[in-house]
Amino acid sequence: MAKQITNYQCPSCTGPLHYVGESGMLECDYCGSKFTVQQIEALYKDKDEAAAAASAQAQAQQAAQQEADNQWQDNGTNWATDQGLRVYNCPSCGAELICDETTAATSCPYCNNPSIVPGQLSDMLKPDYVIPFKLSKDAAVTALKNYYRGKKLLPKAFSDNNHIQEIKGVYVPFWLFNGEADADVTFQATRVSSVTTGDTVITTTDHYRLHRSGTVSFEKIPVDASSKMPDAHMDAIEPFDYSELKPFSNAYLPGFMADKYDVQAEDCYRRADERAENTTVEIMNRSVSGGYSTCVPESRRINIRRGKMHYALLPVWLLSTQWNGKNYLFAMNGQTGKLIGDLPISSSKVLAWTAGIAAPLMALLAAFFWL
Amino acid sequence: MKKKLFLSLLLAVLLLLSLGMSAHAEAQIDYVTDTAGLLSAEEQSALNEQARQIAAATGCGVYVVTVDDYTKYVSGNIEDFSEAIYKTYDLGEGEGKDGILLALSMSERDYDLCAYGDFANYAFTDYGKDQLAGTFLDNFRRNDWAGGFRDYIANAAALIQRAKAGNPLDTYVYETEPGPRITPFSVVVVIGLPLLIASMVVGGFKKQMKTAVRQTEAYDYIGQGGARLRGQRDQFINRSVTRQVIRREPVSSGRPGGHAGGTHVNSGGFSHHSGKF
Repeated sequence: MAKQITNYQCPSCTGPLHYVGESGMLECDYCGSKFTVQQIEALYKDKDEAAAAASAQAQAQQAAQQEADNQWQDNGTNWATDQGLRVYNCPSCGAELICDETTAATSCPYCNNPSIVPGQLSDMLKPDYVIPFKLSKDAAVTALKNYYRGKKLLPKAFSDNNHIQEIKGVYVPFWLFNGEADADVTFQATRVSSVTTGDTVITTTDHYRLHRSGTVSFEKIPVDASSKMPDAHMDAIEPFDYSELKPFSNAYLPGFMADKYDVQAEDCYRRADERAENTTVEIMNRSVSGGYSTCVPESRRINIRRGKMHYALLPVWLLSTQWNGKNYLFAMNGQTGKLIGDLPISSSKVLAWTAGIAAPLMALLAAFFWL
Repeated sequence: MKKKLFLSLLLAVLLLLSLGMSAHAEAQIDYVTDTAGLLSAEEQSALNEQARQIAAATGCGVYVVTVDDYTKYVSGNIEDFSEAIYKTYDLGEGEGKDGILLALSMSERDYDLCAYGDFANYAFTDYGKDQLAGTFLDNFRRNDWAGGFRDYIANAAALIQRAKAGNPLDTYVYETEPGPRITPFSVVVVIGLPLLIASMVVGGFKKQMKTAVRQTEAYDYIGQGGARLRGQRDQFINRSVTRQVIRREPVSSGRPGGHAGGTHVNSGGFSHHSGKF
């Protein structure tokens, strides 16, 4: 029976290969050989297809057996399936790998070999695109340290004693939505002028109703398709540089985690539509010229025509740490290096800064008013 | 009554002479000349003595002249009357003829404080004369003429002494202010404004700490087709007009009493502060 998991091994020494963003190649830690994505794709095409077929077969068997009153499978996966988990065997050391049912790429906790589950990303589930990692783990660690700098309310103990508990590079599944927004927006606007005659100010306000209609086309609005990823974090590391989108290949995955989507596109449309609508109204608003004093939207009719949708894996470094019993998660765009994440706030520093700014100002104003 | 009549006649004759011909250098009046009959003989005598001592001690005369109606003597205003009196009776002490004259005209209830001479104009600044007037006007409004003149002479002496010490009362001196005035407005400004500024700055710092925020727009994803405006129409609906009357505050220099500081001296060498009592 074919394995469901593939290890990408060095053709020279059979050591594990992993994708390196800086070189854009798969490199062997043992012999230092480097291979292009295309070379590895060609070498592992048959193996990946066999693994995908084995995976599909295993899932079909699993489904059949569940119907046949929950019989134990070879790997004893019934209990795991109930938990939304899957069990694979590491092709290198034979250890059991217990993964989420969405896991597409991981590494063996025993031998640390990168492992790909081609069945998770094949056929209908195959992503259209991938943006390969460009930045390394070291770059992410450095970016986090830089991120702490200049944060005046950050507790000193947090930055001094902080140790990153976990850092992982993850290819996060995203839906990329194309579409056009057809807008018909009405604004209430005023033009105000005033003249002074003697002791009287005469203010004249002309009221207008402005109509604007137009079309705005959008390409590849990203919405993360993984329920495990916090939406705010994934939104905040945008934008990705789509000029580096590559046709998907499993060969980009070794050395990183990857999940297949678990949020359907139908459930993500609303977020993309909302962003497109807001942007369209703002563009219509900006089209208003003519020296109006005020311009407020009165009514809007936006019709979104959805176009082609793409499925892509985008590179994200996730760094997590704990402080005072609370988890802090940071995300870095694995392509552009943009790092975001919420930080703890020191109450004593808030107080000190408030007092430090307010007290001298109070003294100055008191001297001005009362001395 | 006879004395009052005599003084009035004397003033009239001398003033007419002075205006029609040259000044009459020989004529003299007391430091306090009350032709309007506001003071008793004792009061007038006491005030004269008080003013004489000040003139002797300081070299700057302090004078009072009261009349029923100054228009009987001059055709101008109360300030012209004061200047005519000052010149006609050769008032003032020393070579500079320094002095200050308080002239009262009862029928118009006009008063004028008139200073002459370099030192007197230095000692009695515009602001100083304004403050000096404040010391006697309250008495006059109660018909306390003797009290008002006493206050005038005493405070004029004080201003002279200050000027002698090189510190004439002017707008930059605030001794008459009651000290720090803590008003609700100043409390709000002194406490509230710094706290507001501090909270805005700290709010900016706090914003730096929270960067995981959801996107609400999609400008980065506007496609090659971009934004195409299909139609635009601006429709005039109506016009509204409002009128607001401006309340004009009296012009103020921002200093007490609206004085810009110093003394405004006219071409004749006099400075004035006049009004109604």
